[in-house]
Amino acid sequence: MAALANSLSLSCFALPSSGAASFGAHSQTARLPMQVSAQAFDGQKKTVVDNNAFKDKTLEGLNSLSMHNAESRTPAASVSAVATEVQTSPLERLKTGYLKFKENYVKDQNLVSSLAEGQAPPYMIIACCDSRVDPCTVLNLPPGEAFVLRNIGNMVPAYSAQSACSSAASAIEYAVLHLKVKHLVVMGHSRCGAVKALMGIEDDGSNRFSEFIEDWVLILKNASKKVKSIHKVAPFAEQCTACEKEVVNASLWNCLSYPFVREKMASGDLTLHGGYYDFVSNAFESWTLDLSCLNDVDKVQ
Amino acid sequence: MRKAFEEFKAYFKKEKELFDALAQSQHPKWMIIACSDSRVDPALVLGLELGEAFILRNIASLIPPHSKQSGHKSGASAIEYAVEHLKVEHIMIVGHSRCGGIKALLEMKEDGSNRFSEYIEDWIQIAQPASEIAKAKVPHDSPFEELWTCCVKESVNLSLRNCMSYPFVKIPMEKGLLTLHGAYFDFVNGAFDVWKLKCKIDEHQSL
Repeated sequence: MAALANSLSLSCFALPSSGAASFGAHSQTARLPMQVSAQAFDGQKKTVVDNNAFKDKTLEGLNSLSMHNAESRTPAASVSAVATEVQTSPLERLKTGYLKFKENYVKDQNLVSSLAEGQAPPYMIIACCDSRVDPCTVLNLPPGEAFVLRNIGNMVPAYSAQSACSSAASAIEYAVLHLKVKHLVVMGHSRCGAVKALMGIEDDGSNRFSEFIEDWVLILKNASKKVKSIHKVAPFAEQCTACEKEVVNASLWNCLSYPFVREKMASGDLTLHGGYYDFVSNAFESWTLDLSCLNDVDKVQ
Repeated sequence: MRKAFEEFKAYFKKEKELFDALAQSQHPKWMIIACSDSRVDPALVLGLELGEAFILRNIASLIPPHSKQSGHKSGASAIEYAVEHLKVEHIMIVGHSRCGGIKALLEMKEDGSNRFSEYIEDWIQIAQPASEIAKAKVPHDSPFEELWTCCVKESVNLSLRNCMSYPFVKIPMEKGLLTLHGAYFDFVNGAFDVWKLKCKIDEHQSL
């Protein structure tokens, strides 16, 4: 993988230096903490490319359905939904929610019949299980738009020829080769418990607290090592924020380790994006990977 | 994407109190395990607000049985976190109509001669016992759709039983602190069915 890393010239849009940049805002250029050469980016260009990357017919054209979803999230509906949850039984709460969804959904019969036959989502999104970061809610994506993989920490393990019963690998393979998604987004978020757990693991494993959680998050232990060495003196909370973004990049990097992902990128059929949803400051950052030397990868391998 | 997030951002501002609380911590009562299929996002389908459900999604909403063997533990780690740390009170596994993963499972030949993927079949074969049950239950001459539907539901039940194989699930279940639910979302006919998994050990009786 080191050879692969060195052969790629990865121009990435830089991570904003502070967590408070709102979506589309200009950000300071900085080198990504990755072992590849990264070209500094132009903030303005980021805005343009992001628009192109996510400019898609469905968000613009499916206004009617988007509005339906927006309706179901009006403040009045949300407050009453929370109140309902407290007062009625848990299943009653789900029933109320489902009937409201169905009422809106059946208004677009063309969409209903087309989705009954099949799905052709333009996006695959890899997000965390955290209850506060549902990607379809945050990005207002109606049914049919995004094939979504969720696990703790939005982590993608690296390609391995020995398939280890991998939920991530199978989902990426299906999305890329069968659904032929155009965009693969890894979306990290603020106050991530999985990243905090990763950052808190002692090197000797002496503070192990779980049966499976540490084994899972340690698939991206390199991300935490990198952050600890770059941000040695920063407070733990700041280190965690940096790691939340590093985990996104590490997961994107691991996506690239799958030959079928690289092939689709090389043919221009797939673009990889990173995203970071900060629900503390109500901001969403995104960046796009643009590999200009992807054709050299096969020679190296 | 910017436009979509701006709409959400406006909603976020209006619900300041809710989001201030969520920024500090999450206390979802539900863990939902759903398929990655773009048509079955459980938060959309069940009208859930942010903060209500911790959601795991993979192909065919599968949970492998408890095992100490190596292999990626995305499901096990998520369930452990939800039950032990977030203290969710309900786990719901949602299957759905026209599930591509279950279709692939039903079409798999025993000798592997029609293998088409690198990872997908290895993942989906977690549900192999469900395929056998469905094939035994559904008459041979029934339309494929019937076998497909039955297999999805049996796969949900299998994953529920596999959930129970984790001690950190079984113990709170037996104490009545955690309830397991199965569900089937039929977007062809517009229905959402739910059922509970009951686990009860009766009082011991001396013979």
